[in-house]
Amino acid sequence: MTGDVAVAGRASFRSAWSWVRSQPTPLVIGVVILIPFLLMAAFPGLLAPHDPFKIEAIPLQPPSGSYLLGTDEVGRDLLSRCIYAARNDLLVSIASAAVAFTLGVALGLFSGYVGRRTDTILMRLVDVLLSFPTIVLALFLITIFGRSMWVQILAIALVMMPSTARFSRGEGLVLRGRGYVEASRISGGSRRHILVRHVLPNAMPTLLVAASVLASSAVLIAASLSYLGLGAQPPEPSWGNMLRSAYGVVFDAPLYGIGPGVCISLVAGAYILIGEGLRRKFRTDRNVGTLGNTVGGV
Amino acid sequence: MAGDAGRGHLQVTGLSVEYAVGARRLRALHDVSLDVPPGHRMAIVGESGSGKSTLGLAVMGLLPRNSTVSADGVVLDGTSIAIGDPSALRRVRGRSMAMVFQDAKASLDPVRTIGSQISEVLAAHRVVPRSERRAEVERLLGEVEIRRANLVARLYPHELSGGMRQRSMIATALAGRPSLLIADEPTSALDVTTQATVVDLLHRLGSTGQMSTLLITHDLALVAGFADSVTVMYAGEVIETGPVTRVYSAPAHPYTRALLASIPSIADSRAATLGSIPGSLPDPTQPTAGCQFEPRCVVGNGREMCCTVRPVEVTVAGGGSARCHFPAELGAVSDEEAKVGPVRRAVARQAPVVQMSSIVKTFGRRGLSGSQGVTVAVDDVDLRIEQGESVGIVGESGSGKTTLARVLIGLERADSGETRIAVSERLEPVQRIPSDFAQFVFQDPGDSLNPLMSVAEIIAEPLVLRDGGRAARYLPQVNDLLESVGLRSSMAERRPLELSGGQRQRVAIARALSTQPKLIIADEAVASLDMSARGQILNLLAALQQQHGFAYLYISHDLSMVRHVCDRVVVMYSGRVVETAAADSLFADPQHPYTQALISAVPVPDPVVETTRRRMLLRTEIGDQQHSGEGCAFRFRCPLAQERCHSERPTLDAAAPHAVACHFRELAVESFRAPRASEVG
Repeated sequence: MTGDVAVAGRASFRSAWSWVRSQPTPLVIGVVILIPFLLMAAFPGLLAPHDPFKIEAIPLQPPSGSYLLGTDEVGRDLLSRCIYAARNDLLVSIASAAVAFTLGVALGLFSGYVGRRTDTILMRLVDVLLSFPTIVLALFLITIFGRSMWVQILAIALVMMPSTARFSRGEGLVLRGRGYVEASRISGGSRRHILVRHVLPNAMPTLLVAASVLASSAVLIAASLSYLGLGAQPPEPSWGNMLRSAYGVVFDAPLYGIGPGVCISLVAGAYILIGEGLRRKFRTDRNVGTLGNTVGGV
Repeated sequence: MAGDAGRGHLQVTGLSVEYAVGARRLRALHDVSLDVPPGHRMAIVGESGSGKSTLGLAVMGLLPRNSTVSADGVVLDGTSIAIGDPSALRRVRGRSMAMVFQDAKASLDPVRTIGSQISEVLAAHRVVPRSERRAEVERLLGEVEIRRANLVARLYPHELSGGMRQRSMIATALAGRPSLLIADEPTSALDVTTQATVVDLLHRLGSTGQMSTLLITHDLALVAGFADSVTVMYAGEVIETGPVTRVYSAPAHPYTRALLASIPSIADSRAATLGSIPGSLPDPTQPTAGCQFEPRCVVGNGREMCCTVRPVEVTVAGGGSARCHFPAELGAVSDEEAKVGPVRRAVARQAPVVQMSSIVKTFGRRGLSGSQGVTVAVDDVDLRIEQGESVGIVGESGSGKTTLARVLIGLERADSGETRIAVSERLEPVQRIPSDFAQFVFQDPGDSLNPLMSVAEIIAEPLVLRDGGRAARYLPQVNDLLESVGLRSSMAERRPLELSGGQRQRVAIARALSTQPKLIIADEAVASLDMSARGQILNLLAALQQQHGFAYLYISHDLSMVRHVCDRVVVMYSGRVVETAAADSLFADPQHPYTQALISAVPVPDPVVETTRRRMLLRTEIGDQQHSGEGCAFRFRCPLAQERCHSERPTLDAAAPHAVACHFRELAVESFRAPRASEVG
C-alpha cells in the first residue's frame, strides 16, 4: 500500500513538473521571483535573522557575515528590515491594484459598452481625475485622511483607477460591435447579462496585462509615497522609507540602498512578467485546445 | 531574354513552402510546378488554405519570416530568380514582376497622392527620365481607364471609390512595365458591378502579349471570362491544370468537378440543386503520403493506392494535366452523386409574418451642426415577408440592405415607419420585434460566436434568456438542434475556435433555430465560407425551412446565390427599393436599369458563355454621388436618365407582382434586349 502511495506521489510530482514546464516562461519566472517575497510577507518572523526593531550593532556597517546587508543608521539589521517591509509593500501594491482594477474595469467596460451620453459624461469625469499628477493627488488624499495603510491603499487605487477605466473603455467599445454581443441582444440579452457573460470574459486577457502593469506601478507609487514620508511610519520598515534613509547617508554607507532597491525592482518586474505570462498562456491554451481536439476528438 | 515571342514566360519547378508556427511546421506548398507561356492569362483557384496566395507571395519573394522556401527553379523570361535571396528579389520586384492585392485601401498609402505613389515606382526603377514622370503617370492612369488622369493623380486614396482605388493600384503595378502581373483576389472587396469592370480591365491588359497575368481567386465564375488556362490547387499541391474551356467542360480531377458543381450560377434555373463537398481540407501539419484529396473523394473512396501513393501528373485529353490515379473513372460517377439535397419548393401566396412600412433610417450627427453630414441609409422602404417564404435583398454595398435588416431585428431603431408582425393570424404593430419571433445569422461565424463559451452554451443562450435557468438544463434541446444542423452531439462541449468555418456557421444556425422563430434573417450568411461549405449550408437552410416552415430574409450581394434560394427578390439602391418581383421573373425579365446592370455584371462559370456575352456597364464618376430627396436615386449612373428623373421621384407600386420604380420602365426593357453602344463585348 505504501509503495503504491509512493509511486502515485512520484507520478503526481512528475505530472506537476511537466505542467509547470508547459507554462509560459515569463509566468514561471515571475512566480518564482514573487514566491520568496510572499513568504517574507507571510512569515517574516521565521525568515528574518534578527529583530528588525532592535538596535544590534554599530550603525552603518557594510555587509558582513552576521549582517548580510549591513546595518542602518541606528544599528538595526537591514536584511531583517527588508524582510519585514515585504508585508506592507506587497499588501499595499496588491490591494490597491485590485481596488483600482475592479473599479476601473467596471466603470470602463460599462461606459464603453453603453456609449453615447453616458460614456461622454463618465469619461469627462475620468479625464478630470487623470489631469492631476499621480503623486500630487495621492499626497493630497493622504494629507487629508491621515497616514493609515488603508488610506494609502485607497489613495493609490484612486490615482490608478482613471487610466484603467480609459483602457477598459476601449475594450468595451470594441467588444460592443462584436457579433456575439449583437446576437445576444437579438435574443433579448439584458445589458447586465451581456456585460457579465460576453464583454468581461472576452476583455479579460487584455485586462490581465493591464492588471499586472497596475500592480507593478502600485509598488512604485507605494515606494514613492513612503520615500516622501507618507507611507509606513518609522520605526515600521518599508522599502520606500529605507531608501529615504539611505539617501541621507549615501556617502557614509553607499551599499545601504541596495537591499530595498533590489526588492522594489524584483517585485515590480515579477508582476510584469506574470502579466506577460498570463497573456501568452491565454493565447497558447487556445492553440493547444484546438490541436488536441482535432487530433483526439474525431 | 525571351526574344520576340512576347514577355512573361514564367516557369516554376518543385516549389515548396513551409511555415513554422510554434513548434509545428505547416506545409503550405508542396512540389508545385507551373509553366506560364509568354503573354498568358492564368487563373489559380482553390479554397482558403489551398496555398494559392502563398504561391503568389513566394514568386514575389514576399513571404513572412517564419517561412522556409525551396525550389528547383523559378525562371522568368530566361532569367533565373533567386527565390531565397531577398535583396535579389527586391531588384526584380516591381520591375519585372508586380502584384495587386485584394484590399487597395490597405495597399495604398493614405497620406500620399495617387500620382506620387506611382512616380515612386517610376523613380525606384528608373523607368523614365525625371522630366517625363508626370506624363508617364497620366499615361498609366489612362491605361487603367481612369478619366481625367491629371486630376486623379493629385487626389488621395480616400477620395476615390473602391473601384478607382483598385485601378490606381493596378496602375502602380504596371509602372515598372512588368512582364508578370500577379493579382491576388483583386476584386473580392468590390461590388459586383465594379468587379466586372476591373476584370475586364485585367483581361484587356493581359491581352497585349507583353505581360503574363496570374489571377489568384476563389471565384470560379470570375475565371471563366478571364483566363486562358486554369490551375486548381488543393492542400498546397497543383491537382489540375489546363485550358479554361477543357477544365470547365471536362474536369479531370474529382475535386475540380465537385468545385464546379458547388457554385450556383445565375444562368441556372431555380430548380437546380447545389453540389457540396463533404469534409474539409487536411491538417497541414500532418501531410499524408497518398493523395491529399482522398478523404473527401468519391472516386478514391479509401482505395489503398489513393491512400498511400502520391498521384503523378497525367496528361488529359484536351490539354493540361491532373494528379489523379483514376481520372478515367470520374466519368462513371454521375453528377447527382456529387450533389446533395433539394433546394427548391413551390409556395402558394401566404399570409405575411412581417410587414414593414415607410421605414426611414438616417445616420450621422445631428443637433449642433444641424442636418449636416446625415446619411440616409434606408429611405422610405416597405417590406413584406410571407409565411414560409424566402425573400432576398440584393444591392451593392451602401445600398442599405443590411441596415434595413438591422432595423427589422431591432439592432437599430428606425427614425420613422412601422413594423407589424403576425400575432395569431393578425398583424399587430410592435415597437421592437420580440426576441423569439425572429433570429439573425451573421456573416462571420468567427465573430458571432463567443469564443469563450462552449457550443452548448452558445446554442442554449436564447433559451436561457427567454426561459431562465442554466445552459445545462437545455442539453436535450441542444442535442436535437445539433442533430438537425448535421453536427454530432459530441460537439456540444467544444469551443468555436475548435470548429471549421462551416461547422461554426452550423452552430450559429442551430442557435437561431433554438427559439423556433417565425423568421430567420441571414446577412451574407455564406459569404465568409469556402465554396464547398457554401453549398452545404445553403442546402441545410433549405431543408430546415421545409421542415419547420419559417420564412427567410437573405441579405446578399451574391445574385447567383439569391437566385438559387429565394422565392422573391428585392433590389435596393441607395436606400430605396428599385425593383421587386418573384425571383424567376426578376432574373428572366429585369426591368429597372440598375437591376439589369447588376445581373449583367455577374460572371457565369462557363467560359463559352463568358467570352461571347455582352455586359452592360454603368457610368461611374469620381467619388460617390450623394442623392437628394428629389428625383430618382439612380439618375447619376443611369444610361436612360432624363430631365424627369432629376425632378420627380419614381414610385413603386407595392401591389404589383413585378414592381419597378422607374419612369422609363418600357424603354429600359427594350434597350436591355437590343444591343447598345454602352455595351462591351
